[in-house]
Amino acid sequence: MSAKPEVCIVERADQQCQQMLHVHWIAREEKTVCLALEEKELQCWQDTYEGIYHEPIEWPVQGLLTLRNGYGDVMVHLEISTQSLRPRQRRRLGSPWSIF
Amino acid sequence: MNHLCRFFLANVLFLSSFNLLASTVEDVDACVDDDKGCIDTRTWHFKLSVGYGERSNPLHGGNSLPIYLIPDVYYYGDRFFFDNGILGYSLRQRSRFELSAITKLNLERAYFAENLTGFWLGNQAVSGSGDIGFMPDPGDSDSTGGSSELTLSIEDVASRQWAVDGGIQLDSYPYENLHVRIQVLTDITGVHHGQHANIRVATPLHGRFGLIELGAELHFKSANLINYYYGVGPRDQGVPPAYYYEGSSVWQPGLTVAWHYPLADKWTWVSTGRMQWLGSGMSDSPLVERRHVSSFFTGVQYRF
Repeated sequence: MSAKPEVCIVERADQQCQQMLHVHWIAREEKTVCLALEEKELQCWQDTYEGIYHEPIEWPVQGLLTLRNGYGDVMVHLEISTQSLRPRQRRRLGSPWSIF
Repeated sequence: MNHLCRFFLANVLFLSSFNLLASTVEDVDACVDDDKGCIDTRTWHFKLSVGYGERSNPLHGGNSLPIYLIPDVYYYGDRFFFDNGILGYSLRQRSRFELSAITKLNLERAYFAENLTGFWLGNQAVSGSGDIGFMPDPGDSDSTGGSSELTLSIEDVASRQWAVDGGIQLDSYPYENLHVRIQVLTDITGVHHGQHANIRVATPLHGRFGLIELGAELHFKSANLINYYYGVGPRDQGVPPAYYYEGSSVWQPGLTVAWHYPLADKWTWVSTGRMQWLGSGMSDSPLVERRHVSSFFTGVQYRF
């Protein structure tokens, strides 16, 4: 199984990435399988050697792409993620003058 | 813990719970538009201020602490943070509040230190052991032995230890430019066995004059904490029983002001001042000479 791309790049860490996900898988024998991102099922195929998934998705910060057989067992997995050009920002909680 | 302490802590917890419940539907990142007060995560920030300042010492025999350098070091991960000695982990993060578990050094021991080195590094040598050569100044007490006339120097009593407190911190931003911080802490090192709670309200004002931050704070310190540092008893060998004192819980209000004026890309002019009133449970101790502590510092800051 291969996925393209595996990383979605955004400007800032708080931005949500929506982008096409292209997944291609090939098996040596006919399989009934389902592609899922974490617990969300994306597409299923029945009794086939090969499958292609090509849809826009909401990219996770970090998520596991899995191909499961008819019994729900994970046959193969890939990790996809969102990365930002700038680090996430947050409020500073301490005080510069806390030593006083 | 007395009733007042329990009342204060209960109110703090109630306020925390109310804020948490009221914000459960809101999960927006507070820093989306380069807000002032927001910083990059996963980066060490280091600034150094050079100038002159002092922190007054309210204790008999204690010198004012001169301050020439103030490092400002902090690192924030997504949840973990280190900020000038505060080690914390954010449990809940919302746009208008943040709840964190924290540990921090209790700075009460700093009054027993003699200089900046002692202040930063916990120099144990500056406090006397209290077991040799104690001779109270006859002028320090009158014939009636009234406690208000008895005074002791920090050199006459046993050394007090540094302590680390742990607890929760709630940062709330109810309005723009208003920051309310509540800390509820307890001793986790078994040194003073006391509690400390405080609330601080600060408002940063941005303008052509730079940044001016005005703050007001109220600290509650439990009897155990005050008694460990400012109480006098048999542990202070050589001190006559007439000098014994049992500290009680105190409320300590304070006011702060800080001014930052940018001079160049990495240089900032900084001035800060703080006044804190100590409360009679502490200031009645024969170790304590003054009823308030004042601090100031002015100088330039360089951002690395």
